[in-house]
Amino acid sequence: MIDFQIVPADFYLLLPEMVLSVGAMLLLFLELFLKGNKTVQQWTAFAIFVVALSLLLSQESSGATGFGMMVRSDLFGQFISAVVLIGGGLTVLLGKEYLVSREWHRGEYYSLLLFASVGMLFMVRGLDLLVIFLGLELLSISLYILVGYFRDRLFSNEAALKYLLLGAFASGFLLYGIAYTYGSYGTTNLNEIRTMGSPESMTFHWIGLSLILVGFSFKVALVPFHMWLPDVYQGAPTPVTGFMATTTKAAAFAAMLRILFYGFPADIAEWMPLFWFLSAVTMTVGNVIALQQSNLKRMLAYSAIAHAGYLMIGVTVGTETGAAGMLFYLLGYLFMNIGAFAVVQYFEGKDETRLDFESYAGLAKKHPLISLAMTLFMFALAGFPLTVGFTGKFYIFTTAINQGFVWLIVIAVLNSLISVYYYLRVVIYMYMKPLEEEIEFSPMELPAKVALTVCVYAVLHLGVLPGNFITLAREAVSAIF
Amino acid sequence: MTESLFFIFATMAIVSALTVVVTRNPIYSAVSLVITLFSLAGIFLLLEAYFLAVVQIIIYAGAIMVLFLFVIMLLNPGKEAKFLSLTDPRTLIVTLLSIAFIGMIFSLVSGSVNYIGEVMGSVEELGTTRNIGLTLFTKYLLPFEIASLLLLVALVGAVLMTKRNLR
Repeated sequence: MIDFQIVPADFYLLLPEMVLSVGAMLLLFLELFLKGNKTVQQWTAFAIFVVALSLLLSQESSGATGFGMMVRSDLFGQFISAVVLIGGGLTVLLGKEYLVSREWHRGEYYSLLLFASVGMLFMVRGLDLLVIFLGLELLSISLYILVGYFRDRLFSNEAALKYLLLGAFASGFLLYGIAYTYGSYGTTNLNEIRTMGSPESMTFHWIGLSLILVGFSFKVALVPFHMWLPDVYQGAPTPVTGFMATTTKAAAFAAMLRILFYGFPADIAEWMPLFWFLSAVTMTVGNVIALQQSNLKRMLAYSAIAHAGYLMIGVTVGTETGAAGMLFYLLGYLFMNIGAFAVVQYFEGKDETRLDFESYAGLAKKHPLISLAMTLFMFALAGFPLTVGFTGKFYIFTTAINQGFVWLIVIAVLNSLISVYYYLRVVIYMYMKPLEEEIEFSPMELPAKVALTVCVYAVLHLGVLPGNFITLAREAVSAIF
Repeated sequence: MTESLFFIFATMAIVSALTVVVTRNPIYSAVSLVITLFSLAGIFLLLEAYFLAVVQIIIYAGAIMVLFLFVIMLLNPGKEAKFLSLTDPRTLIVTLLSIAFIGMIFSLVSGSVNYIGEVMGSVEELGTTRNIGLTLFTKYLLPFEIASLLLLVALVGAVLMTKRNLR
């Protein structure tokens, strides 16, 4: 007989996920009864995110496992789950204006954001490759739908179809890798794999792990697996793009870290040259192509690729401090990128014609505060001091230098210099070019204002006083080492 | 006996899988896919995974493929245009890379495993419906529940993408 018990503590462990999924279904029901004004849905969704976040943070991070070691509650999972839930909350606040102006404000938007967050929480907290895979699929399917949310627009359709086909392909790789791993270890549980140490078959272990890495490289868009990203980011509704760029990256990197560092600690050093190469190529390709973009959403998409490259430095280094740097950077990246997309979505206009640099000319005079916020986000993405972009990069780069990765950091610093050009171009257009045409933007609504303020504050706070959060990130990664 | 049966099923699976991709008539593709799925069910049988074999035939080869065929016949598409030309350098590169990949996996795997037979644990115990049910609803209860959420999301997506007069 199988020795297996489910106790109430198991459900307690899963409370955040349960609240999110029940909330998502509740929103689907509300959609049936609500006609006309749907502000209620926005606030319900936001409340659900807040409740889930507070439940998550109130849990003990003791490393307790639940459902037969399927999920694990530790500080690492909590940290990234919090990033995901904050990102989801901000996206809820930003979404309404955008959707209302396009007459697509529906409850499904919020519901799918919640489902996607459930998927990410399972990816981050899962201790079994199966749970991680199912979480990833739950996330991916919600995102395919969200990307194609404007189903009457060709751009959106194209983006969704591309993402669906390539994403399904990547999932195939991942699943194939998991199957090979099962073949060599006889289990999919990371804890058992870790204690087992050496596999039954080294060959299967290698094939499995490399296929798993290919699958995750697709999701975080490392070069050469980045082809889908610019089109998808450009075609998706802008709030969804911001959500994808930040939370998905955090969850996928976290799952990758947990699999590599927790499940296969012996392999990190061996695979280092490969990570080195991926990191260097990704940031260079991302930055060089971003230079040539004239569309702001596309520029930010290539910048997302470049940032995946910077984050890979943390994996390359392969130490606790490297991973802690990644965690901190992911937290900071959440605020700077969602903030940047919030400004883009405000200025792009109802028919999305104002996405090129020229249409930002002279906006600073008419919209001094929003322009100032955009300037801050651009400076942060470029890595200027006093913003989180600087502290995050500084922490990752110094860790790498201390471990002797001098050339990788030389490449990274050169890349940061290249990136200054295209980030500051936006600022130059806003402040130094004359206003081309008078366009009236309707004033920003309160929720969006709140979200933008939170982003500005967080970018500055984490930039000036990062101490507590870096300590937190270091404690968090010690859970997976 | 088992080994020769395995090779028969495996060859059938590979050949019909290739036909799915190569043939230009969608109906032929679909029927080849049915043959692939049947051969896979055969391999499952040889591994004594009876439940999986039956599920494979009922759900994949049965329900899903019938749906495929219906959709193809309803849409009635013509022959696919030829989009792979052998003179295109990209086709060549992709072909070479795929052959290299397959060769690599084959050379790694060929030395290290028996094709069939020694699976971990006592196989007769694992493959039965009773045991699959037991593990699915105890050890794998959580993944099972996540899968149900996954299906719900897919359903929501299908409605959202296709329902008329949504606005």
